Amino acid sequence: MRKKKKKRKIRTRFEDWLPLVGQLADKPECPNCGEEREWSVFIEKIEFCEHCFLDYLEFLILSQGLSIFDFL
Amino acid sequence: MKLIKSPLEAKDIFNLIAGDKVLISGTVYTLRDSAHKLLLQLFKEGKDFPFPTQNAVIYYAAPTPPKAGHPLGSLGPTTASRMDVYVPMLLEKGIRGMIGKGKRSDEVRELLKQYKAVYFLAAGGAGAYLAQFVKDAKPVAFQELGPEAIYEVQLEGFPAIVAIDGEGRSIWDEEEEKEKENKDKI
Ligand SMILES: [Zn+2]
Repeated sequence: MRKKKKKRKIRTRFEDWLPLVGQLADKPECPNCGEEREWSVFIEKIEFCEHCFLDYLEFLILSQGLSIFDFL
Repeated sequence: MKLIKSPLEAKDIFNLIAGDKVLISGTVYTLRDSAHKLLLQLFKEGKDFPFPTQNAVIYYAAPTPPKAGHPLGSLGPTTASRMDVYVPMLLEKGIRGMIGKGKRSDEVRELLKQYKAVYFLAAGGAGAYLAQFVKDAKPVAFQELGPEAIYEVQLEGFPAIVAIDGEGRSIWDEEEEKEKENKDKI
């Protein structure tokens, strides 16, 4: 029971935070994963959904700060 | 920035160091969980794989349906660690490069060192962006698996980072050493 509560808290925090960087998606399908999404987050001009955005953050962290734009 | 060609050459692998930014061009093969299982069957039976494996690079990815004018809709990396157990088989067959997302196990790192092979980290979540570096893609085996079939993919300037090199060095070495130090303190 306690564990469940904890998980929910984290998710709420993420949803609270997303509107600061993202916007409601105009199309339901994410261009990256093809899944239905609610949010669009733009980094430079690349659009990420709420799931792909987290994937990309993981990449930024794992690659120690290197982004795709370091390749341009 | 290092420009590299796939299939890889031993001298190219020798020159790659963990942390290097690379642009990959040439032929790679997509590989996911279910295709690995079918390959394992072939491996156990001592049969050849349905694609050329010598010095080949595989890409842990699954394509989504294409939009008009593009060979693929999206081609983002998928988590590589799920496929860690199959790495010995791939290396044994001559595969020398893997592109994926996320960390690999210590065992995989040891194997890459032993076989002089490389693990490239690609940008997770950016499948649609990465698709522009895909010039052609066609399924070459296990088509019954749909998007999880093995696709032969032509890359041109596909951006990636050398995450683990042929000497077993990784971009996470420093961080892991610190973790170890902290554990030892406790
Ligand atoms: Zn997405």
